[in-house]
Amino acid sequence: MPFFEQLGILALTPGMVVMWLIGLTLVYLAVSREYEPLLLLPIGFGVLVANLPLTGLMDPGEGLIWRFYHYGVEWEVIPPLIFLGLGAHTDFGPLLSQPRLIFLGAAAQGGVYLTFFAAQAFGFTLQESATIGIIGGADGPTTIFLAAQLAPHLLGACAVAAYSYMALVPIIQPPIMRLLTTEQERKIRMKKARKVTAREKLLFPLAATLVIVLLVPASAPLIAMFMLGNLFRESKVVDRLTDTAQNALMNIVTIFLGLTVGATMSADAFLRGDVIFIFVLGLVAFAVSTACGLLLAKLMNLFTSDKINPLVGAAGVSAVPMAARVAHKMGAEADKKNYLLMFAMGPNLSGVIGTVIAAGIFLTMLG
Amino acid sequence: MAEEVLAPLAGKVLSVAVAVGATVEEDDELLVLEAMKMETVVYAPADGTVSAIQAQVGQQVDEDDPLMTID
Amino acid sequence: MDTPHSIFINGLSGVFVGIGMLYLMMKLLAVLSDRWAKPASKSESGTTK
Repeated sequence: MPFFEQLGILALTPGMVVMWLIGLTLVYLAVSREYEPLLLLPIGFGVLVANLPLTGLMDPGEGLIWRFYHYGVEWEVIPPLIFLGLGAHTDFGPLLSQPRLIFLGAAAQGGVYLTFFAAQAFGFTLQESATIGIIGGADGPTTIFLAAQLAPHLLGACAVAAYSYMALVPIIQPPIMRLLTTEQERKIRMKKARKVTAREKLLFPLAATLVIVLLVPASAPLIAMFMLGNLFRESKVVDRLTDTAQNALMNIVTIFLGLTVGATMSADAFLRGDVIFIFVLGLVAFAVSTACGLLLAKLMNLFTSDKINPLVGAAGVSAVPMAARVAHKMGAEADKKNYLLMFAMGPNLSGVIGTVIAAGIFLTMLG
Repeated sequence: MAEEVLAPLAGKVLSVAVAVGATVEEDDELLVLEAMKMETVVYAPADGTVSAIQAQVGQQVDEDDPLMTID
Repeated sequence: MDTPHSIFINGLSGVFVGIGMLYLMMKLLAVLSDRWAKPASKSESGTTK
């Protein structure tokens, strides 16, 4: 009986079942522990569904999810649209108020490059190493954007690593922050910086686009969309567009992003020795980035009388706003009247830009 | 010597712990703000009596907005 | 050209140069913003901090 010869269950492999467990674990983490649920839930489900036999969902040219993946991710449409939404949500006030904090976001890219170096020492190709390194930038869409162009076979693993570690920032960062700072340093109160005018916040996205894209043209898809979203928000004259970018558009694109990323993780793509390395290196990247941000803040303190609380340097790891929250909480532990949150947002946002620049440079040199 | 308690960051007022007329000591909890999905407690800057409360539960405040006055 | 070392150096310095340029731009915005806000006192130089 032909139907019973084509039962899906007959084509099941052990690898697929392992992937189900992984997918279900991600769904569990999303639902029960609320780890980045907006991404990990669809990713987890995508993993599950892509590892069901004979569905044809990921068949090149024909599969439903393949189409979402091809036109959304391979064609590099979805990550820039996510950035449009992110820009519409972002308030650059804290950064504009104290410009010097922008260097902490640059320093935090140290983890990206050191991990890149380590990965290629372990035998990964330059393109693969760049993709693994960018996990340290703690930015999901940028990781996916880079992976799709340089190492698509690692996209799923790198994305899951990035989003998982972003959710785990409250666990990963504090030990490093305690190790590299003294109690005294953690108590530093930062001086309230200047008020930022609406006009500055309006001109910033325009000027930033010019500066960054003229320097690193390959970063244009992400930066231009990010700054456009920000321009919508700061112009205050296109509230409908801002609202759409912040909400409807973000949500739609997030759904497709999560599902397609999960669906790339078929058993043969994911169950390889490489993947353990990716998760280990990704964790190293986060840790080193945290350390680099902290250390630059301490270095800057040698040259200024207006001290920076080094904890905000850790927020250069651009898991927005998780890392800023962690910096604030660590500061409040040392001195409960110390309110570091807004100061920490400066490096947090500049880390996003830094990661995009790093990705753009990788693309320029390796794409 | 009235001292104004200003908002240390922008956020939404979640709860107010004291009423007008209450005696507070320095570092007592005055109210809770929510910012970036995180609760932050605002503490009394000095000893005194609460003479006015400008903040209302549910209100969105900006950095440096007056929250309370303590005499 | 494309050795790991050169990518490392180019990359990290590229990030700092890019961020550095943004820093200068932001400082410029701050100075201009101060100047636009105080048309009466042209003699006051904008505080750069």
